[in-house]
Amino acid sequence: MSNNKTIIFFLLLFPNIVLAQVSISRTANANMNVFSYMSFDVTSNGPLDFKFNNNQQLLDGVTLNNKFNVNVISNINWILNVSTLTSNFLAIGPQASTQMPPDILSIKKNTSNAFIPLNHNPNMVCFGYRGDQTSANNQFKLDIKATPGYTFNGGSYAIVLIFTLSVQ
Amino acid sequence: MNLQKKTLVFILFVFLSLDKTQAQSFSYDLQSAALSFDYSTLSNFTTPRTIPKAFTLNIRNSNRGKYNIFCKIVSNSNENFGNIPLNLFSIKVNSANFTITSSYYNSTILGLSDVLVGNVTGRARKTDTIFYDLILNPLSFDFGPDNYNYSFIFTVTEY
Repeated sequence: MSNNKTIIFFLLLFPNIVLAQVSISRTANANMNVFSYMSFDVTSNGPLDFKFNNNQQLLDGVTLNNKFNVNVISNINWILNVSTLTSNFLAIGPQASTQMPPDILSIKKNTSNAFIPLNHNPNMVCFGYRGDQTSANNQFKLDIKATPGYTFNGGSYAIVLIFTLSVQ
Repeated sequence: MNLQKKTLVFILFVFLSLDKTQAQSFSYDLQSAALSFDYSTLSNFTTPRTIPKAFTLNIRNSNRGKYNIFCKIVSNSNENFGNIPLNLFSIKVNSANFTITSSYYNSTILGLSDVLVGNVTGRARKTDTIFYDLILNPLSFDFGPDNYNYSFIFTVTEY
C-alpha cells in the first residue's frame, strides 16, 4: 500500500510538471510623423559699423572678421542665403549718395576664401547638412567686408541685411 | 483487476480530474493607447515625452503564477532600420494591481532584441493588470522628415 501512495503522489504532481512553458507575443503599432524642421539664429559680435579713415581703406575695403555667429538646427540639408532689404543703401545726411548699391558689401564663411557680394536678391553664402548646432558646419562665423571705392560721397549709409535659411 | 486496484485507479482519476479543474491556462491581452506622435516643434525633438499608460497588459495566470515580460521594437518603415534611432523608445511600469519589483518603475530603453521589462512571481491563478508608460526620447536632427512606423512586441513567458 505504501508503494501505491507513492504512485498516487507522483501522479498528482505529474500534470503540473508536464505543463508546457507558455510564451505569448502581442503587438502594438506606433506611427511617428517627423516633419521638416529648420531654425537658425544669427547674432552680431558688437555693432556692425564700418569706418573708412583713409583712401586705401576705401579702395581695399575694411573687413570685420567673425562678425556674425550662426547656429543652424535642421533635419533637412540647408542653404544660407543673404540679401538686402533695399536695392540701395539708405543715404543719411545731405552729402551722402543715394545710389550706393549693396554689392559694396560682401560676406563669407570665415573658413572660406571667397567673399560673396550682397544683393537685393538672395545670394548663397554657404550650405550644410541636417543636424543641430553641435553637428559639423552647423555652427560657424561670417566675415563681412565693405569696399565702397571712390565712387560715392562721404557720409553715413545704412542697409538691412536679411539672412534666409532654405532647403537645398 | 481486484478491488484494491480499482480503488486506486478511481482515486487517481478523481485527483487528476480535480487537478484539471483547478488548473487555469495562462493568457494575456495587450491594449495600447493611440500611438501616433508628431515631431514638428523644437521641444518635440529635444524634450522627452511620456505617454502615461500607453500599454496595458491584462494577464490571467495559471497555477504557476510566474512570468517574465519582454519588449522589443521592429520597424515597419521602408527606411533602412540602421537609419532610425534605436534608443528612441523607453518604457517603464506606471502601476499594477499588485506589488511589482521597484526596478521596473525605472525606464528601460527598447531595442531590436527583447528586453526584460517585468518579472512577476507568486501570482498563481490571479489576474494581473500592469500599465506601462511609453517614453519618447529626444530625436536627433540627423533623421530626415518622414513617416516612421514601428511595432512594439511584448512577449510574456510563463515559467
